[in-house]
Amino acid sequence: MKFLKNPFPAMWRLYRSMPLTVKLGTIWIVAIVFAAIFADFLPLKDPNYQGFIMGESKVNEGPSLKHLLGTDDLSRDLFSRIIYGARVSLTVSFVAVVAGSAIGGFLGALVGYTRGKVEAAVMATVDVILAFPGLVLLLALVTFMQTRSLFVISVIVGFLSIPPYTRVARANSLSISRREFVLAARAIGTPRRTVLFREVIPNVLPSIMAYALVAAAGVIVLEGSLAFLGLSVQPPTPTWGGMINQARKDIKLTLFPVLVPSGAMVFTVLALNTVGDWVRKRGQVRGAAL
Amino acid sequence: MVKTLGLRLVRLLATVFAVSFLTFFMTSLLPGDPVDTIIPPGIGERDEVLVAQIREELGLNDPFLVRYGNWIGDVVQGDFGKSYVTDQPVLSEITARLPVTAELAIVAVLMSVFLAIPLGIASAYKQGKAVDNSISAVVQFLLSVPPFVVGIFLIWGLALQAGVLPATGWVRLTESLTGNIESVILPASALALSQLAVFTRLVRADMISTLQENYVLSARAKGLTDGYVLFRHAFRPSSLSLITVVGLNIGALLGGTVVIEQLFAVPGLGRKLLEAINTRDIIVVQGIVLFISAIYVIINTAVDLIYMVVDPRIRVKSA
Repeated sequence: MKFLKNPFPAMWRLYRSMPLTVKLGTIWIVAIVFAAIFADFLPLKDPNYQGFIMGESKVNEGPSLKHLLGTDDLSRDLFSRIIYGARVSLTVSFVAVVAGSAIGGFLGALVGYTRGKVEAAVMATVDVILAFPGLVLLLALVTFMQTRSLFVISVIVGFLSIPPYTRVARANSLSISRREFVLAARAIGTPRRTVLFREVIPNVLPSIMAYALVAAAGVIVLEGSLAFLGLSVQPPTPTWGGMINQARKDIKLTLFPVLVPSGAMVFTVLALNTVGDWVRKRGQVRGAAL
Repeated sequence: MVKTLGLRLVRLLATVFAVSFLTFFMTSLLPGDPVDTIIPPGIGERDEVLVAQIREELGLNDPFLVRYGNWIGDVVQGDFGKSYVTDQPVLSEITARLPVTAELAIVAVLMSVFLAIPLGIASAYKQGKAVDNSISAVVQFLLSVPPFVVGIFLIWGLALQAGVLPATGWVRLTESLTGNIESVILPASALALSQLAVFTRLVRADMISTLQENYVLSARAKGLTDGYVLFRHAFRPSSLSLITVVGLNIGALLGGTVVIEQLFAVPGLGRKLLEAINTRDIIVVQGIVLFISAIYVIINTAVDLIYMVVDPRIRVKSA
């Protein structure tokens, strides 16, 4: 029962082997994911409570002990809003990663190994979907939705994430399927299905994981752009892009309410990119050593 | 060569055709009735006879494939239909706004490429030194800042604080040259910065491997100056991958223009697309999405062809 072993020492060793920037990125990602998941249990203010109604707070306040990151143009607590806003960004990118790697990754690994007509059909479909500029296709799909709930946005973005993963997985699967150990497995009479799951997919996984981190960063920007255009999850649900769009109207008075959600988005994207790069480089060293 | 060219053109047409089908498919089968755009429901009594008449006129009662056939048949002849909202031909709405978006995109690409080349070369030349480390750090950071965030900070810094450039709006080239240049600088820079990061990274990585080649060593041994070797000998092969990545990034750029045009109130194609989305003007959305995607596909094919012309190795392989 290997997987029941305490995973913490291994995780600690992995953490110790990271360069400083990657450590910081990992800490940021873990912290923001933790905060987003447990937002309801953390001592946060109601993200939609407008303090100026009862005269408790003013609009566009600067940071203070009462409002750690100040308030927005409706005197809502910005600290609490970026954490609740993280829920949208992170959920959408999580769904995209899961849909992309499970469906796209599997499909790509499968057709890269089996080849033939199925491969041609799958890759032609992928090419057509990738022939659209991403945001434009996303806009076209979102337009006709009656409601824009977190579920709807996640499903659309998740669906659009499948083709690029398929392409990455297929490219890797193609080269791995030509390797000696795959040939050897076939030669001793292993069924094709077993070869796919035991030999090909485990070796495609590392590159999919490295791609997933960078792609997740891309999805956060994509969702942010959508929210900035007012076409992501509907208000009053806070979204980073929506907060930026709202705060930019007061930018002549104060830049701070723009700075807070922009910072949250940029740091998250930067963290994912940095960790993703590190994972990719580690994978390359390993691949070369084989 | 001619055969390859023909094959590429056939593939191009097939892709554009498939893209048009998918565009129509998406926008037709999703919920929402175009008649609701023309006669919004809930405002007074709805004349059901009139609604039925409009449905018949627009051919909405026909089966899906017939409707697609009619639409694509007209599109091929340059007729993208008429807007449900403004009653203007969709094509003229597109061509009226295309020059604005094209100018924005071209200026952004030129800015990013011409900055990325010296930065990438300097970074590769001074690999591991302070210059390289600081360029790489800035690039990594820029890579993570979405264009619309860059845009807001540019507006804040250069338009509101320094007051040197207009914050929003657009002056057409035909009205005033200086006004046009002033209005294009900020939105184009916002688009260019994230592209700049991608290109600089690429040039650096490419140049680092090229600089280890023997012919670079022999050029240096001949006594040529470093600058001459860097640009004339080492950079030339790297320009190939740069062309490809610039082509691939046109998609991100076209998506970016939608957001940037909205932020800077630039009357381009992207802004029209958003307008059409918000008024549920389906036929305009279809037209613009197809148009932008077709341009993207054509540019990518063109890039492949340029690549073939520039690099003899690929020409031989594919012929």
